Order: sequence, then C-alpha cells, then structure tokens
Amino acid sequence: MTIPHLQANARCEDVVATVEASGGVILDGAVSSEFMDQLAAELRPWIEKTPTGIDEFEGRRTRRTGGLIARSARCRELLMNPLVLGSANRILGRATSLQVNATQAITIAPGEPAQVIHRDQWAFDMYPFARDYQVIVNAIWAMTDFTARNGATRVVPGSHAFEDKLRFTEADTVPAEMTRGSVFLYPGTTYHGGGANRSDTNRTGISLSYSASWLRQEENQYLAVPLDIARTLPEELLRLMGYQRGAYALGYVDDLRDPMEFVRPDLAKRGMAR
Amino acid sequence: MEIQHLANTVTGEQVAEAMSRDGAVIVDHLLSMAQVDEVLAELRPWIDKTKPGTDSFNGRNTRRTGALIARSQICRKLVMHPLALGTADKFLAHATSYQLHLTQVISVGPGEPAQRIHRDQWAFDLFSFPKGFEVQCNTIWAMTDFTDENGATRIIPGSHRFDDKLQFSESDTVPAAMGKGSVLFYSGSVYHGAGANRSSDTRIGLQFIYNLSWLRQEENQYLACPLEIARTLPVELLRLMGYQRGAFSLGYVGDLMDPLQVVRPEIENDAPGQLENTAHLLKKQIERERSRKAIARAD
Repeated sequence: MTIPHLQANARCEDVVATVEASGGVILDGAVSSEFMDQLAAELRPWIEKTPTGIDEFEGRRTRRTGGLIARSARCRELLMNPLVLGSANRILGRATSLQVNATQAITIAPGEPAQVIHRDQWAFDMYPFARDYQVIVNAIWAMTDFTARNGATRVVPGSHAFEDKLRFTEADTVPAEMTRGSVFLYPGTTYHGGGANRSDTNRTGISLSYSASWLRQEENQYLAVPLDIARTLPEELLRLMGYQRGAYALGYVDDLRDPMEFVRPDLAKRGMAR
Repeated sequence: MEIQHLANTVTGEQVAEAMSRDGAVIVDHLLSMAQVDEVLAELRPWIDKTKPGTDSFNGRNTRRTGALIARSQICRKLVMHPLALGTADKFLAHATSYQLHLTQVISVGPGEPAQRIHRDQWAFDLFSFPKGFEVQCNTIWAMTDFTDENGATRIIPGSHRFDDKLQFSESDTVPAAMGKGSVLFYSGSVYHGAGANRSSDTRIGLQFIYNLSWLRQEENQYLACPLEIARTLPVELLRLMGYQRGAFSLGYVGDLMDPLQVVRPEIENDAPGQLENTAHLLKKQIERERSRKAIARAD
C-alpha cells in the first residue's frame, strides 16, 4: 500500500475522499519551484538561527523553526492555499470552525535517526477522540525533495482507522516521497514520523497544521506574531490565527469582546453567536 | 435534592469528592465580609463601565466584566486561593495540567429573567465528553448574598451524570443559596443557569473557572492581560494563565520556546522537550503541592 498522489488542480471533494480512504494524500507540484526558492530565502536566516532539538522526539539533528506567519509572507500564502484550506475545513467539518494549530519549518540534517511513529492528535494529552471526529489536519510542504533516503515522512497507510496508542516500527511504514513544491496532507489520526536522513543533505518540510477551534493551539499565535505585524495581515488569516472566537464563545477578551478588536477594531463583532 | 454545604475548614480533596458525587457543593463563608467589600471596591469602577449583554443567554440586564487578572490585585490572589487550586488539582487530576479558563464578575440586575439551563462544557463546540471525564472546575464567589429571590445560580444536583444535550426548566433546579463570601464549586458537566432576579437589588458573583490545558481558554489571557502587567505577576499565576505548555507541547512560541520566556526571559526555560516533559510536570506538581501546604500552614 502506498500514499496516493493527486494533481494540484484536483477538486476539493477528491482530496477529502482520498484522505478519508487512505489517511493522507500528496498533491504534486502544488506550488512552483520558484515559489519554493523565495520561501527558502525568506526562511534561511531563521532556520540558521534555530537550535537543534533537545530530545529524540524533537530530533537532536533537527531544527524546528516556528513563528512562520510573522517571519515569512510566503508561508502566509501556503496557509491560505485554497485547496489545502478548503480540504482541511471539510476534514475538520464536525467542528464549527478551524484555526491555525502550528507553523513549523522542519529541517532534518544528515545522520538524524527516524522519529518515533505517532499521531499528531496525541498532543491533546492523548485524549481518545472517536475515529470519526478529526481534530487536526497537517500539511507538510516539501521545500526540498522528500525521498526515502533523505528522511521523507514515514507513514502507516490507512492507519487513520486504526486503534489508538499503537506502536509501530519503520518496517510498517512507507515514505511520503514527493518533489519540491508538493504537499502531503494528512489527518491527526494517521500514524507517521519523520524519516531517518541517510543522505548527505538537509531535508526541509514546512508543516502548517490546522485544528478544531475549541482546542488549544500548539503554537500560541497571539505571542508568536507580534501585534504590529498582526495588524498588517488580511482579515481571513487573522481569523484563522485565532482572532475570532472558537465555536461560540471561546477566546473572547475581557468584557466578552471579539479578539479581532485588538488588531482590527474596524472588523470586530459585538455579542456572541450562542 | 439540595446542594451540600461544607464549612470553610474543608480540604480541596473533600470539595472535589463532593463535586464528583453531586456535581456541585457550597463552601460557606470562605471570605470575610471585609474581604468581599475590598474585592467589590476594586471591581466597582470596571463593573460600572461594563455594558449589559446583547442576547438572552448573556442577559440583557446582566453585566459580565472580565480581564480580572489585569484589573484587580485581589482577584490575582483569589484565583490562586489554596482551596480553589487544591480542589482543581484533585478534580482535574486525570489530565496532565489545567489552566485558567476565564475570570468574570457577573452582576445580574433586578428583572433579569432566568438564564437557559445548560452545561458550561458546551462551550467546547458541544463536544460530547464521556460521563465522568471532567474538563472544568468552576467557582462562583458570592459578592452579595445569593437567594432564591435575587437570582442565585440554579443547579440540578447529580446532573453531571445525566445524558448530554438535555433540556430542563427552572422547576427541575434548586437555588445555590449562600451567604456573601461563600463559594459555589461546580463541574462543567452539571446542568445549571443563572436564576431570575425577582428582587430589587443586583446579585453579584465572581467567577473563576479552571479547565484542562489542552482545551482553548474561554477568555484569551494573552490579550486580556497586557504584557506590561503580565511581566509583574508571580510565575505561578503566569503558568496558570497559560504561560506554560499544556500537556506536552501545546502553546509554545516560535522555535518551541516556553511561553513563560515571553514575559520572564530571565527565567531559564524549564519546560523541556516533549518526552522529558512528563517527568518534569510530575515533579512540578509535587513541588506545587508542597509549596501550597506551606502557604496553608502560614495562614
């Protein structure tokens, strides 16, 4: 069993149906190589400054560079990619709305061993969500080619339908091989892990995840993106970052004020949609 | 079934036991009259400035004033009250950690009709948590007497074990009648609602809610409390507000930085990697209980 591929001009329904059937899909060439050049140039200084991980889960030869909405205009574009965002919206459709969960450039250096196979939704204190209630969708954008040799994400195909808290080894997985500019889209239920980098170059993926808006964000967007930058961002992105109440009431400020008032008072709503 | 009253010498463990049994319990006169007057004096200007609600759920004759960490020195202490935290420690012990969900002083004006009976945990998008899996520990501190007549919170004791999404009317409830300075503890799963205020005075309750740290906070503490105020607050309070990762990794900033470093960069990043965090949190928990016992003895 392998990971299905679709063209970047696929219909949203087909992307969602493929994710539901297989636990993940690769959209080939979703952005151009030139776009990735520009993105890489934006991120390079930040990646260079990032320390490596401090345990084997984070990866002692892996740099995880966050705060990408503040640091990279092109990451903002990727986050709002209509096909990815549209698909995430549907996959997370049991919830009233979705939000940004985390933004992270993951650079795996040569010699890094494989990461432990896990489910992303375990971040929520291992809460055992029902199988038909998805809480996370992750999009990993390939900033370099992803190959079996350089540490392409390892995936247990179809495992989104498996029991929770299982253990797997690399032998149970297949690599999410894809070309630079492609994106691997998978739900928080799919078992996966960063692959071992047995090549002599870095493997970089941009992980942009979305979650149900009633859960805590993995990356705190209010602190990660300074207000003076937030004020310059488009309304739709601000709402996605959490400058909008989750479900009906979550995330208001002081006297039940819309969090949007803090960045764009002109767009704020009064009252709650209970 | 009436709501049980406990004396103010009770332990957090006993309060949590009563909550697990009945879904709600009252601790009588935890604060003195003088302490309540002090709180009210601090909050009065903010209450006066607050506009009433814009819908029947929030109450068109009800003022809900938040951001109490930023606005009130005394509220910062009350939110860390050893009995409140001691209760939440036990009641929410099944999770790795908990956080401050919201701070709100609720002033129900005369003539306000009864609020619809609901579960507070419905705020999480009506997600059906299994029975017995508690996600919130709620407190309402009576800043005036709470009576049947003035709109005391209406509770259905034992309803934390009921099915989800049920509808009730006022006749199914009992009032959480209590004296000024008393505290109502109740779970996020117990059916309740603010009572109708048929008196001629405003009924004021101070609400602090704690929830599991992997859920979104109802009040955004990062925006509600300006950074320049946050920088002056004790580290324990900051962690409770969310300047600490939830569960293993939730809520980091930038390159996996502990959010505490945003406000207190001089404190060494003591929330390490995701795997090591479990042992670390356990250690912190033990330290916290020790220091709390020390505070209780000093009182």
